[in-house]
Amino acid sequence: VHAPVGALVEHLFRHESGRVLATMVRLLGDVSSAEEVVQEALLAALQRWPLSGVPPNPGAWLLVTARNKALDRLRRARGFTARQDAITHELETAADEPPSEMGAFPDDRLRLIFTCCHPALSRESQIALTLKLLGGLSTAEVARAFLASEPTIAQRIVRAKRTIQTARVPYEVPEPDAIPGRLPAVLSVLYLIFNEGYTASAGDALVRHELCDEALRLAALLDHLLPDQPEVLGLRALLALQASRSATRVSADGTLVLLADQDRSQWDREQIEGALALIGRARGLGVPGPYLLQAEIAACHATAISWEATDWGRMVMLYDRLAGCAPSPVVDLNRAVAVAMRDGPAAGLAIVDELAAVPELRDYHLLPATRADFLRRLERWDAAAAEYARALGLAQNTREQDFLRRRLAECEHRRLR
Amino acid sequence: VPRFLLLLSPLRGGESRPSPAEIQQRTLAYLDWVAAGVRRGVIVAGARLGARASVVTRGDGVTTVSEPSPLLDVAVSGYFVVEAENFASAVAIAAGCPGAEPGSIEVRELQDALAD
Repeated sequence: VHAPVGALVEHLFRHESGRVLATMVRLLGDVSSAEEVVQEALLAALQRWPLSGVPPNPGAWLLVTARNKALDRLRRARGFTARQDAITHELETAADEPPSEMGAFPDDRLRLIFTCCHPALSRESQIALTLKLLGGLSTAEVARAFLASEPTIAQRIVRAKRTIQTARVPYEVPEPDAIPGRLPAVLSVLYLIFNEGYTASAGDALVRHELCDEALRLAALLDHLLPDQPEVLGLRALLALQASRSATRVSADGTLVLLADQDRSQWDREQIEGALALIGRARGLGVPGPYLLQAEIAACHATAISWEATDWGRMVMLYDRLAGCAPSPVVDLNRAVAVAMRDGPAAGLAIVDELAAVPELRDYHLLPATRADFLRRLERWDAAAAEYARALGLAQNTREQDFLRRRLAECEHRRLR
Repeated sequence: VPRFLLLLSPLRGGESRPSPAEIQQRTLAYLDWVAAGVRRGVIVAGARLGARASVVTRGDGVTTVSEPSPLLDVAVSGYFVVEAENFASAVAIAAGCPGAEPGSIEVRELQDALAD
């Protein structure tokens, strides 16, 4: 009856539901009603497609079906208001022209992204709402991905929706002069979604992988909807460059592999080329911000043939600029690593010793781990072992713990020789 | 080969709202089930019931046309005609059908069918 359809339908519902939902929120003016209408449309597809075959443009089919369900809903509602009349008119006139690939409807997802990431919502709510409404994940899936309980996430989403209603969070794209102020929250949400999938070792592996894909997809969408924003391009490039290394950062037996030791021939060249092109586009668009600078740093790694052959002079310069526009002790720590590679471990150690007094880094395992690495390279085995032991006490991630334990054993072995 | 009728009765409402990702998984499973059934010649026919319905009642020389029972409309959403060795295998086929999940599928043996 029909050709293999798995590839066609794969991810379709999840990805299209965000787009259809965004349009329905605009038409119906309410997130919950919009979610119901979208769900009805998806369930209609579930009932029909197996028998009728998948329509040639499934995304458009879902949009038209949801639109008709919204229209039914408005017709059934008694006491039409002027607003409903206007919406019904729009729906009816639009119903004659089926949407093309990008739609006769404007793409409403940009409004939805800015609404989900509105400053009136907590960062946690922004993340949960973005994944649920734009990513098409269920409450249970969001909970699984963040190792939180389902009621916790459900409550977060309910609270966020209530805030949108009571605080009258507008469903709109900010004015152009307000975008620089609102964009960092959106970028931060996408970055956190990616990192949650990329760095954590616990939880449902499949869901975690999907979080990375989802963040990459949403960043590409944001770039498409809001073109020529250097920080959007920077974030997209940064995520792609990190993703290009995902196959090599954990070895076959599950242990962590440092950037210095990764098999660079296994990095995804296509993804790297794409990221470099994005960085190229961003370079002419003004003073680089934190995401573009981080992408430049990642690109510097991606284009070096080895850890040792990396352009550490350029790295130090990039970290200096990053520390200038987004100062943080973690950036200072990374800068120390670059300085140590450029000028030797003693120079790095001097910087790290100063950082030891920074309160934010007191419980940060990478500070003693970095210090230990410099001491190891200076062959100060006793001191290095002590620092590895300290880092081991602070690390949460089991893969990192394994790595630190191996280094600790190595230093103790050398000390005794 | 004996033929059997599968009457699909999905449950409506009640269940917790499935996410787009979950609906997608169910759709893929159902698509695969139908495609495999047709390919192997197990599924001979099938359809979903549409929205328009009337009941024609005849008796005592009077024929009336009325709305169907709303109960029946909710009960059956569609059907498949399948070929199976025996009744037990038809029940097994129904057990693998994702078309009424959540819900139920009634299996009926078909007898005295018109010749093809």
